[in-house]
Amino acid sequence: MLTLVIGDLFVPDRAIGLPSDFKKLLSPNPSAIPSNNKIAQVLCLGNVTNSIETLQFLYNLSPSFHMVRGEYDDAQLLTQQLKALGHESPNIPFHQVVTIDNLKIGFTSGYQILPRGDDVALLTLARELNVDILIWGGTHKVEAYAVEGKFFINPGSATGAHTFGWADPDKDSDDEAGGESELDDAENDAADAKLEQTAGDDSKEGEESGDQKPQNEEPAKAKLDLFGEETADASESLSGSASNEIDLELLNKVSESTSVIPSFCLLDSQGSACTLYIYTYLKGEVKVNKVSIPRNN
Amino acid sequence: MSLQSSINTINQQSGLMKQNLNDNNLLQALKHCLNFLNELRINKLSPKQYYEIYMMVFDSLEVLLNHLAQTTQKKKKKDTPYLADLYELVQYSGNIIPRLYMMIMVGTTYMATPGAPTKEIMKDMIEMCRGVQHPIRGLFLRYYLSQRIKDLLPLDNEEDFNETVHFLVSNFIEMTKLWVRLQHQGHSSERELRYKERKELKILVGSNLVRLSQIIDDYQGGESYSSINYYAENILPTITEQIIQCRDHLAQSYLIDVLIQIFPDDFHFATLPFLLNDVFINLHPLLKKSELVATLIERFVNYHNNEAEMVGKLSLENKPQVDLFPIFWDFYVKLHEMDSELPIDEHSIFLQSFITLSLTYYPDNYQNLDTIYQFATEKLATKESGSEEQDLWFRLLVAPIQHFQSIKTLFKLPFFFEFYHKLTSVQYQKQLSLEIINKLLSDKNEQFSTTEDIDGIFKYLLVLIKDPTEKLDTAKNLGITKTYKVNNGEGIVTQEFLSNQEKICKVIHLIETPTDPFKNISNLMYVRKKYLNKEFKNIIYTYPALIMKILNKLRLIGYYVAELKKQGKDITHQELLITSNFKNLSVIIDELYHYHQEYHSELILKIYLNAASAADQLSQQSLSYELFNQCFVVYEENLILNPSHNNRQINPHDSLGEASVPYQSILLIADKLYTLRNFNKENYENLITKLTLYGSKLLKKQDQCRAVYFCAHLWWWCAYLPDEQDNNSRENVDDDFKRILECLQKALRVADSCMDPYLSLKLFIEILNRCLIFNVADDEGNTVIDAKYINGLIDLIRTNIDNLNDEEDPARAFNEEDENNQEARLFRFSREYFQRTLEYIAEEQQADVFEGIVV
Repeated sequence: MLTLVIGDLFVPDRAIGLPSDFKKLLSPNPSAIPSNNKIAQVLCLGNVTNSIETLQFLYNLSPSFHMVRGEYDDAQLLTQQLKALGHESPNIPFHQVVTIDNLKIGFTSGYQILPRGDDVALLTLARELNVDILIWGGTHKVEAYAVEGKFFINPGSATGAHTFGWADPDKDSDDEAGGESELDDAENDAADAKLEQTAGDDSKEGEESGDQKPQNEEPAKAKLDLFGEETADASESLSGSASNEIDLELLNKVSESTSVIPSFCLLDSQGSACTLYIYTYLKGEVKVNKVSIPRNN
Repeated sequence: MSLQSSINTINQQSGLMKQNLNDNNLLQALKHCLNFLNELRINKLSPKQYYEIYMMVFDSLEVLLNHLAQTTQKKKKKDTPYLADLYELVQYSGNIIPRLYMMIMVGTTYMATPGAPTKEIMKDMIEMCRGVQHPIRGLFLRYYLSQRIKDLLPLDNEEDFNETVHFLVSNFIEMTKLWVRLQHQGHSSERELRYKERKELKILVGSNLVRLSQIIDDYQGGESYSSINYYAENILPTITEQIIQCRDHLAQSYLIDVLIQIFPDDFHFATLPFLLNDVFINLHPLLKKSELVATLIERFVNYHNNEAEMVGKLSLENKPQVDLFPIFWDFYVKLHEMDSELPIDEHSIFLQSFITLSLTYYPDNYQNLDTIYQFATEKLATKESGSEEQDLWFRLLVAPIQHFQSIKTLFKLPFFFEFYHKLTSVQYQKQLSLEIINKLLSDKNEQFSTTEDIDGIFKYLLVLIKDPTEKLDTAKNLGITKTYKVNNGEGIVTQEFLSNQEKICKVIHLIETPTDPFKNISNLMYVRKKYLNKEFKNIIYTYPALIMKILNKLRLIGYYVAELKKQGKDITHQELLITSNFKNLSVIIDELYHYHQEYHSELILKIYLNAASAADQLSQQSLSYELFNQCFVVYEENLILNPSHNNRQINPHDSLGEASVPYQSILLIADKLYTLRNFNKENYENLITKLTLYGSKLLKKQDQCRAVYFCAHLWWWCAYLPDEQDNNSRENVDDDFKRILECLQKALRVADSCMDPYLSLKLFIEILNRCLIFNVADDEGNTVIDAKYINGLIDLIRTNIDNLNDEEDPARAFNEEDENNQEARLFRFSREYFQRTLEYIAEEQQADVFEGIVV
């Protein structure tokens, strides 16, 4: 059974919409309802903000739509909009627990977890809710890891909406490497990632993300320093006005490291076994990473 | 009745004729033939009925004709005069109609035989036809001639061709005359009827032009012959002269239409100026020339599109190089000068066609389009216009939008906007603006990076920006228009309004200058000042997007400048810019707060918090501090006493559920305070002391308890911030650790003071779990919350559970099925949560964590 986990869209506050490749992938049949006959339910982590169009898109994807309230959602308006779309129980709580196959899945937008995104605080919440999988959002950063026999998933932001948290590329990639490489399936040939057929050539099977990301980061850094020096020399000879000029290369690097990569997750559950597919949209391509979720007793 | 008797007669006579033919009695057959032909002399039939008997006669004549052709073949060459004799013979018939039909029938059969004097017969027949001047009878007779002769026309050499053309043209002229004359027959009260009848007969006349077009196509010609030139010099002037001279509305509109449809495109390309300036202009004054022009342009456009498809398959080197637009435009201007009273819908059709023409043939030439809109603005939209005109104007404006490669094309059309401005109906203005936005949003990678571009697009959005919200009309009242309650149910907006505001926000996101974020910010500020703040009621829908975008750009700049600083560059200038931009941004947030604090303080608090947090990331401590202060102002002014404005049930047991607004606000502030890194200890302590105090003053016990234990985290963070002297003494850290303990103590006291013992228990367990987070040793082996404290808490919880167990009605307490028993359910949940916590501790202890805690 496939469950779509998606959140932090921020349309139109911080993004124009989902990347069109995501849209095509998620909704191969836009005129039908549900528009994707493979997805059994959608768990939305909120922060759709103010876009009935986007809400409708998510609502129409599957026969079953569950949503929790995000930090920036106007609950009053959202309730009315969901009601207008035909949702039976349009109340939007702060957290929900659903049972999918034999898994208890808790999900929340995550902004009431203090410290936000802290793994110990999340563990505490998972303990309180007594769930096998805890899904949270609010940090716009994809994460998937296991602690104490529980599994934690953050699907990131599906639109790549910007966030105002700290941007620490070094720290982030370390975290991800540490967290994910233990879990990442060694086999990368799982070409049948669930939505792939519909994606056609657009999506590529991703490399093991835990290993790859730091590698990407490293040469970029080295290059950056190299050019930094050169331009520094050049600018000195150009007198005082140079400080107003913009070092485009540096700007691009910074803008890349502070921007958010659009992503969402797809949970494929069979009984108590479960596989997570992480979809990211990077440089015009959809990539898929597969993570096996260890069996829970 | 007379129709039926005619039919009977024809059937009867034609039957007799066939019998005679079988008996080889030709003369008798001819007699019967004349008899049924006589029926065509009838007067009282309508054109439709006449056509019916004509068709019967035609079929019967075919029988006779085939017989003649066969017998001629049998008799072979010796007897060729047989048909010639016959041709002479039939001319002795008494009545003109039967005589001429007979003559044509025999004559055309004769023409088909080798060696016949074809051209003489042709001339003879066309001359003789003049003898019938009755319109309907004449038209059908000539139609018969034209039908019979179509495959026999001589085209062997130039002379033949000329005569054939002459033959067809003169038949056309005569038929047109007859057709027009029909209008003037009979009583004047029957004019309408005549008109209708003539419409039914038009195909007879048009068929001549079809035939003309066919023979031009069939004729091969010599080397110096060019069909286009021939058409332009010999055919078109004669035909059109006739069409003009007939001064008949129906004839002109129909025949010109046939002319346009039936002759090839390249003919029209070559003769366009003549057609427009010498023909169209001279047509009947009431004739809708716009429709003829539209037909003509449609042909040209189809030609162009087909040609585009064929490119690649065929090389079209002889593609006509005619500059169409100016020819049409000059004609149109001339027409307007001659007749300034031209109805508005005709203008609309003209301009609509010109727009299509321009977009097809001149996709990159915006001057034409602008000329069109200029004309429309100056000449047409000057008068008062009703809703019908508005609709036409709207359609003129909307026509090109989907065709543009880029919406920026609009910027090159100053008169498009002028004309748009003439739309007095706000509804149409809005509709058009939406068309523009939708087109814009459907294109990828469109960006606006200059104020000119921004003006270019936002001047079309202004009508949506200013869109009033609170008009409750009947449609909304009755639920026909979908509406939503806003502002705590005191306001109402339509779905359409919300979706329009959403689109404006999306356009804001297209304001991008990737190479210069400072410029980008100033552009965004420009949009706010010049457009977005034109309706303060609506800024709550657009400002958040604008502010977030500016803030994001500022954040980008901050990180960029930090990198520059790492490279050892002088960044004083940039830092000044950052500071001043931050101040400008906070003015915008202040404005939003000023107008919308009543219903949207929570949202505005979040915006301030994001700004404060971003300012800290950019090492702007004092700005960040001020922004946090502003957050406290918002809290005190609008949130502290804000009743939970949603009527949802608050469950105090739920640590992550519906809670009061002030509690939520404290959580939001704490969340951001926890992320600060560039504060000195003193400032930070000020902020978190204030927040902890707010937390401890919340009304509800559960809110108070949770707020305070969450604030404990802030003191933990505080312990690691450097003080003003930039050192981090042990003493300070110990002080902060003491505060954590104090917070947890306070939380415990509050939990204990709850009237509801089940809630107390739940809060105790929550605090226990918090304590476990703080039971982590620092570098020097000190733990903030030690095992002893935790053991005490565990004991306390156990005691509470035992007490509650004693109180519980055993029969009910252990009935797990009884979900209706709220208390039992909560109690069970708490016990399980406690149990899970203990299991967790035990598990962790195997990894040498939580030493000393007794489970």
